[in-house]
Amino acid sequence: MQDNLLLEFLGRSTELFQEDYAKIEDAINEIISNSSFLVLGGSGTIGSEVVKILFQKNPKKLHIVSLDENGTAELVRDIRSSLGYITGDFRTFVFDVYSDIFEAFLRSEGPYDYVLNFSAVKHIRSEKDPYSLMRMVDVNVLSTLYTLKLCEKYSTHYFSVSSTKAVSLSSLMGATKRLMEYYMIEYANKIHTCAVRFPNIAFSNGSLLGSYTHRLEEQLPIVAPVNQRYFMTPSEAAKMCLLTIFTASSGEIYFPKLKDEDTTSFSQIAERFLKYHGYTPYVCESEEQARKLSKILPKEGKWACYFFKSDTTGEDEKDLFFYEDEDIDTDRFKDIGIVKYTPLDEKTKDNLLRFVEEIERLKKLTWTKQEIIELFKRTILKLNHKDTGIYLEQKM
Amino acid sequence: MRNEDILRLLGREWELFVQDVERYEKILSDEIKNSSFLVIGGAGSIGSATVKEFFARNPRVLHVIDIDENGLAELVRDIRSSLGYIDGDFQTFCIDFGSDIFERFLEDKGPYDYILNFCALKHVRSEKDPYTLMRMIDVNILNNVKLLERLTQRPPKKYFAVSTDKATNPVNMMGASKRIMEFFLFKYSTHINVSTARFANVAFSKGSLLDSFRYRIEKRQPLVAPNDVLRYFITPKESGMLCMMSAILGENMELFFPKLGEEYMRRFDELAVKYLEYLGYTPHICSSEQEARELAHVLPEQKKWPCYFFKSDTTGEKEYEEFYTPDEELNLDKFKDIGIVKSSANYNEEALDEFLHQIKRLKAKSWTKEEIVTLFKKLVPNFEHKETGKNLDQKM
Repeated sequence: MQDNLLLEFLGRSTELFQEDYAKIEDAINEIISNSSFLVLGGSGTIGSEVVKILFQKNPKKLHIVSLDENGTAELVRDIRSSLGYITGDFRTFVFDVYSDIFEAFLRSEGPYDYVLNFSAVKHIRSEKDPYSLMRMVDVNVLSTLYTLKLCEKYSTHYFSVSSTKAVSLSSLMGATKRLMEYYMIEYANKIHTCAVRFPNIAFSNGSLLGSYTHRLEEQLPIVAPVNQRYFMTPSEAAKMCLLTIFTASSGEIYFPKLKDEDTTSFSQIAERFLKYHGYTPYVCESEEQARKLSKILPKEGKWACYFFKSDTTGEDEKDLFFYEDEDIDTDRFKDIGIVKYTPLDEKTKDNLLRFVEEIERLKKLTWTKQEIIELFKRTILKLNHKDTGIYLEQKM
Repeated sequence: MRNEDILRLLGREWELFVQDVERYEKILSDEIKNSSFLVIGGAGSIGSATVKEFFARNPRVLHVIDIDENGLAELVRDIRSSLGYIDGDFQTFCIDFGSDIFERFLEDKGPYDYILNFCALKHVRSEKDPYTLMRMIDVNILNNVKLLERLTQRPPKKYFAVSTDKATNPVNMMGASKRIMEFFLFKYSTHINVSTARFANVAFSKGSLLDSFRYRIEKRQPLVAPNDVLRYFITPKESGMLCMMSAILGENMELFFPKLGEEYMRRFDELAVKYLEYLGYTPHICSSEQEARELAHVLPEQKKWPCYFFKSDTTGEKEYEEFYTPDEELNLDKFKDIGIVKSSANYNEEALDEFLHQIKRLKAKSWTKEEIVTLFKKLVPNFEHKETGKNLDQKM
């Protein structure tokens, strides 16, 4: 979807980071064309946006690794059909970073100047059962740690993506992202590390908004919570990643400076989306009614919608970008705030070591969701996780 | 895309397998209603089409696993907004079926009456480098073997795994890996009832060239397609019916395939043109990739779309499709639209063990593509890997 259209759906008139990005663009062009990059999880929404920007600046080496075979094929098709070809070494690979294959790969293809990690299990719905939750720990935490260790040998820079949920900590996904941040900070004096905290990325792969296109194609109802949220566009997210990668000091976390008036709700976006496609939203009383009307209404230029107040486990009341006790710099950029580097205290370091040991122990035996939650609580002191007993899977 | 639209694009007014399913509906419904199912890789196009067939028949247990978190979320959204809810236990899990987590999962949640495996690395482009190729072996072969080995203790009523027409006289590593998977299925058929299906192209399946047209339009990029490749096409819905039939009605070691005549053959460029006409655009044929890329900025406003059609010359493309070899025993009478290969167990057990041993040995050190090709040739004697040195990643 085009950027200006996305902004229109979000109810915003200007794009974030334009001014900040313009200031550094010339400098980063120079760095990129002289550097080698390994992008992990590079076929997702944010990852592929970043890859496309890097590609245009003709880096020496640009390698993409992703588990998503279809997404990787689409990324190549997209690049070949829009940007064409470069002289640099551009290749894509499909395998799991958290495996022996990765080390064999690095031995022959490495080293890199920059390793950028976009892979994540990001859906709150994935934390409902102990197995998917363990995979979330594997991908978001253990795989990050494994990559950081390998980076000591095969890279000089490491960048990763965190979330506002790492601050609100009302979901277990947020807790895994907070742990990931800790490991990133721990490695800040070994290699150059940095991260960003993102709110919702509008219309990203797998997001609720992203699914509206399918609903429209299949004549199915549009559902949305009415809760207010911060949103960024994929293109804004990519710019912010680049600003972070090339200007952050080691151990820093960047976040967007968004104001209360920048929030909007999924239901408002849904309404703007439908109007753009020529339909008037018809708000139904129940899921059942929406399903029934969904095939009939389009003929009258209307679309069946069901809006509700979110009550599923792990949903935040409000997006938060930093902790009150974090050292914040809001002067360096117009639209970006920075969490400055503070080395981890000994207790946190101990907790992190113990976390990995305990997870490995649980994986060998058996585990419950509660055991993992307890382990999170011991490692991160302020977990706010509330299990409302309601999960997205039980919903439309 | 809606089922009726796909049929229209394929130039068909009828749907395959419907009469066969109707004839056996009572047996299918009764069996499904009373059974528990585990669907591995159920978020892909064929997997989710099969899941929907089961869901609609109200199974006792229907568990779906996949590493594609976004795909699982979309499957749930799709089912909830079209089919709604069932009394049976329907859950999805985001886990890797090659992992320890899966073993724990199976121990806790199993046993299942039916296990269906749709996981695959399916892109021929994925066999270009040794790392992705190793993952292809992991996913397409080794994970199956690991699971089958475990299931010998407590066999399900049926283990079904998807194969491909590319496994018949394979010319690429993907097809050969599926052929080797078939060998292993037959090896374990002495302990476990197994069945499989060989496919034609599934039109507009995720990650396919036809599916990518949607993104090209969205991103205002040219459509590219080979103009010399004829393929059989079936719809995603038909693929789901075929798999359900094989899983429930297939006898041990039976391989189901669609009985397709020339009227099911289409060229990709022909479908590209139809797709554009369906969206209201006139195709504009360009003579180079470069011209097509440039015109993509101007033509769409005039309701025209740039296309680039080329002669296919990439490695691993087959000139024609076949579902069985002359020495295989067939049953073409049982169903109207489905043919059955009664598999002869023409595998060499020692060679299979040796293959596993050699792969393990390679993984422990490092490996080249040639070493793997050599191993494949030992198992699949008529395997002629055509290396043209050209790969899809080097194309638009």
